[in-house]
Amino acid sequence: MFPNPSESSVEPPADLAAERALWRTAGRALLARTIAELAYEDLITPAPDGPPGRWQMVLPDDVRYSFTARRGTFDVWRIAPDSLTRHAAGTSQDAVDPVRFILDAHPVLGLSGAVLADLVRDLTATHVADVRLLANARPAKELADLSHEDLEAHQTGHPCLVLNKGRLGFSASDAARYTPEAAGELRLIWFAVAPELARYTAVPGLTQAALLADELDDATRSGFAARIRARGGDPDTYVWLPVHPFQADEVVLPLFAPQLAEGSMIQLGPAPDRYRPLQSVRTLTNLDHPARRNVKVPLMIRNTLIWRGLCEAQTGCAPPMTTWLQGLRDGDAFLRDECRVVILGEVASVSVAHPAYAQLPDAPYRFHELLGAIWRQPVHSYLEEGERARTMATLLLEGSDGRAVVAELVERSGLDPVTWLRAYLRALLPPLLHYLYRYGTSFTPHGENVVLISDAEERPVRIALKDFSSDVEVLPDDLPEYAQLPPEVFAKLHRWPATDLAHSILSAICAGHFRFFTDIVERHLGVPEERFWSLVREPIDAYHARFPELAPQFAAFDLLGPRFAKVALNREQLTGGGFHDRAERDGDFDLMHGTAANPLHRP
Amino acid sequence: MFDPPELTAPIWHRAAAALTAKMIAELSFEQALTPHPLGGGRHRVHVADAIAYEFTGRPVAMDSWRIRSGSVVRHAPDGAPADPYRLLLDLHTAWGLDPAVTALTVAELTATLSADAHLLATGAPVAALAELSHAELEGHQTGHPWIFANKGRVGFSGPDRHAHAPEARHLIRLHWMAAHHDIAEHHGLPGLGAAAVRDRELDPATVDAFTAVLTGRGLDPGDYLWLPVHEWQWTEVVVPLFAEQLATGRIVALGRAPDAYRAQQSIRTFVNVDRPDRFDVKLPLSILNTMVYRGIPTELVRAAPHSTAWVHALRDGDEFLRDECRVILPGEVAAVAVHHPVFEGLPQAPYRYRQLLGVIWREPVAGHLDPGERARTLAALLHVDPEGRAFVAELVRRSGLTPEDWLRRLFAAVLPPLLHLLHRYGIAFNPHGENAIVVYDAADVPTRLAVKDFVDDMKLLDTDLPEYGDLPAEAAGVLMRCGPDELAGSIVKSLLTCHFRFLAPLCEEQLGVPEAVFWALVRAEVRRYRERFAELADRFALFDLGKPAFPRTCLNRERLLPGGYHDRAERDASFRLDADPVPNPLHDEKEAV
Repeated sequence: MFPNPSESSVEPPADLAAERALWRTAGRALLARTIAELAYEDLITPAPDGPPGRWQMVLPDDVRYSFTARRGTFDVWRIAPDSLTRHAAGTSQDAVDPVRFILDAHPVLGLSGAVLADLVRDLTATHVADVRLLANARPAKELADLSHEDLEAHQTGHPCLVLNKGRLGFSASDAARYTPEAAGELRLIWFAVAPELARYTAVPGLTQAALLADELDDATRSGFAARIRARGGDPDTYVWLPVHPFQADEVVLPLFAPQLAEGSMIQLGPAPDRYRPLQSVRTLTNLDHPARRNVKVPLMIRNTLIWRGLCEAQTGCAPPMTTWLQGLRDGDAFLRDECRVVILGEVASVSVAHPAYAQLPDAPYRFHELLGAIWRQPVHSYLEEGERARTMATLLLEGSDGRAVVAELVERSGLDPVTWLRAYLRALLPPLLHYLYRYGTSFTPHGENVVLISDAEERPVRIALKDFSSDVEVLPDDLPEYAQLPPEVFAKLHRWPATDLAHSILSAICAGHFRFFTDIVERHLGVPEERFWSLVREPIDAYHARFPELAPQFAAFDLLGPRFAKVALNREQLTGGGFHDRAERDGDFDLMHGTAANPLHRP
Repeated sequence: MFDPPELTAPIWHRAAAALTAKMIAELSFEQALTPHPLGGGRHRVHVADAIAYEFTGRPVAMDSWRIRSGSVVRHAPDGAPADPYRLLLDLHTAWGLDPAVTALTVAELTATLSADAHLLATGAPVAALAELSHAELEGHQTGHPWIFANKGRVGFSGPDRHAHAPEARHLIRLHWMAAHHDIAEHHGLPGLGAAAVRDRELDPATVDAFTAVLTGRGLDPGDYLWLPVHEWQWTEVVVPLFAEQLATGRIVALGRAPDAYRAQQSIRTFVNVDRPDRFDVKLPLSILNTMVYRGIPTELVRAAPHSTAWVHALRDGDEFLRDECRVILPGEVAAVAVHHPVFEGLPQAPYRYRQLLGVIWREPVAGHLDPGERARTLAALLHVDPEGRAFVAELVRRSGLTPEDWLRRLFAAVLPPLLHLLHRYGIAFNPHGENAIVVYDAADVPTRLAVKDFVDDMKLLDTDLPEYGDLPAEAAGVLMRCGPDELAGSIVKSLLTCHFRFLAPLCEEQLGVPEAVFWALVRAEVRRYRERFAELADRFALFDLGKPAFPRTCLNRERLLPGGYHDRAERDASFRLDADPVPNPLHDEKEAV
């Protein structure tokens, strides 16, 4: 009679004093990041507080925060967390509570009640996740030994967004099971969908039968087929797809109940393989059969600004985009033989429309992204003997010993830091520049979408790129290469002028990654910021010299211009439409605020 | 694997057909749709350009409609058949509804249909239901009779519904937690301090085990208040939002207590099955159901025992209520509120953030019953089993009375105490089908009434009556105050519109009591009360239950209004919809009520 008398999955901490200390340490670091990023986006303005390097934030009601900070490229604030002090009512205390800060600052930020409540919720969730990361922290040397997949459990999330692990929709037990930092494992629940509701798309030659034979054992397949036949369906015409257990419970079983009742959708059950989430939470890697593909699945959680579903249009575009991007690479000697860039193939996808929401096109977009899957080739299937792969975000990671992972990698390589950095930048930039200049195609190469591949000596040699279903953009011009794309796919691509596509380098890499990496490089590798930026210019200059025929593009994209528009994600989340219910996911987002001096510019 | 067996095409289509009929009936009552007779019992409502629905049905009292399930046919160029989604989408097009609201309504309709399918697949015949206890019968009820998306439970996953919905009929054991005095407050009637409640609700062995949890972590049990917490609320709300309090030991999970409980229709109220003498437990549950999030605001916790004591004193001092009506008022005798240090300081935040954690302990109805008596919610009388038999017809059959006699006894049990509380004391409960509990004798003849919900749903007049003289300040600051018309709404809205409007035609169909007779019996009971208490004539005039018409409330239309009603700062922020008054079935010029 008792339903699943599972005891609470949230165990109390064994050692309360240790838990309190972790909470404070994580809180202090999150507060430092909060102040730094809000100040970077001009939402708050620190003022000098006496001696150089001392700053303060004066807030209403006689509240004041003081801290020590270094300044860096882009006028960033590098705040020493231990220096943070809150002054109020005549007393001064260590400032360790980011929620307290938001409450203190909210008259300045001008937030509505609903946004403020959501912000507190997301900030608390981020704080909890940071505590979990801190509790599992390991020294840099150990982190450097971890596999690509295991390392994902130690990544700290989007560096620019304060609320970078909000995951609205996850309960405490969901967070304990399904987040990357929990490093848990889960089994996917498979469903079969009648062909009139589902669409299978793949790269040439990959039939659904072939895909399923790769991804599921014979016994599992025949068991699932029997379930379909038992409900009166034809296993060969139904479209099969895996569903995240959270999505199955929270979304599919509740919202597709009519289809489940009518048999146009059939629950097949869990497949035996265990999976683990990567940083995006909804991309999963197979623990039992590493050769099987990564699976990207929709999750109705709101994380880092948007709901993390899979929209039908973009899901269907992933395989043809893969074919196109790989075709460009294979037909281009520079990309193929020199850069040897890896395009992590999104080789197959399934999208499923919800019959009622499909008739409600202006519903909030999360209702149009309920069910689907994308299969992606795992990184290691592309690696050569001895090669290692890690996401670029790893370069921002510091171990429990306070040492940066990159310092460990440089040491292992036997190279001096500048030589190592040159190798890294030579691996990273040329393929991106070539796709951009030569083919008018941009990726979103933030730290999670770029996988850095090193040789056996830990010298960076090349990169792998991923996420083509939503993050590839092209020019409004009609380049001949665009004609190779199926027209219905091309029609769905975002098309922006060259200066906008340039943000794939300037915003995603320079402001979104190097802005933080320069701090690591300076502190851990002893390479001054200015020197680093000159190193960044080297492969760009070399590329420009190598392909002089693309000079008009160099001018159009203007990567070396004096200033560029600044992306302000937190500003948009808090004061714009970050917590919105609009029909278009990207509708009315205004991510730009002001401009930044371009560190690549030579006066 | 959660794979509900009731999800089959025949059951689903039956549930969908019934819900389509209910939607058209209730939207017609709310004057959003206008049925036109086609002859032969067929009627037609125009919904949108070139889209109409036809049905077999009949108009009944109070501008209401009985529509035969399965009789609805949709006429539209696209040829799609009638179903609840199709109708909602047609309304969306016709009225330009807020897409976010429509999207959420799709989800609520689906949840409602899933629950209806479960009820259809597992429903027992009324003869069996008549043998069930009050608490067990709750697991067979089908929800709010007027709101069509009445089991939306936004926030529950599929497995959550299976585990926590009343119709799942599970026995559950409650988790307990400790909250530090810094962030928690206890309120109770005299003799029901925190320790007394704890020792009453938990066995010594459990108390020892929970105490050991605290001492084992180096905490002083004397610093904490204990309270039960719903498992869903704990993992979805408490741990995520009270993370700092957990990290700093201000909130501590204690474990499950052994007693088995049953969820009641409100989902978040629980009756103790193992120890019927122990209190019912009302818990906050941050799900959106029938229009509001189901939390417990701190101010209600503070007021509940005081409000209870006041109403009990009035009842105990009033011979009519005490000795004749013998009305049962299940007291909300003790309560705990746990404060969220941030959200409680954000009055502009959506209200659901300000009612996250607490408990109200309520006296169980069963403890007030005489031997042989049985209690059932008023809502149970509207229940129709999967074979189409009405529960009320079963009770009448068992009583051996004629239907008219039985109804006379029902009205004599239900109306006098409510009328007296209203007229004599200016107190209005919200006696909708779930808050009003009918007590029957051993022959299933209605004898008296129990009414619950003394803080959330009790209202007083906005001018001070002498009867309010002893009202404790703690309750006075919290109880809703309103004008006489709204107070009279406790009868015309909660009882007539929300219950008798459905009971009267059901009695006509299944007991052969014509609607006119039904309403005449209701009026006779009101008249009898007025004659008995002629000295309250000015109050009869003030509340004027006999006027020709009263304002029409449009719950379903409110539900569909734009603007994300669920994100408001005020739960009860009011809105007005244009609709004609409803003819009052208590009004009769000849009878001059």
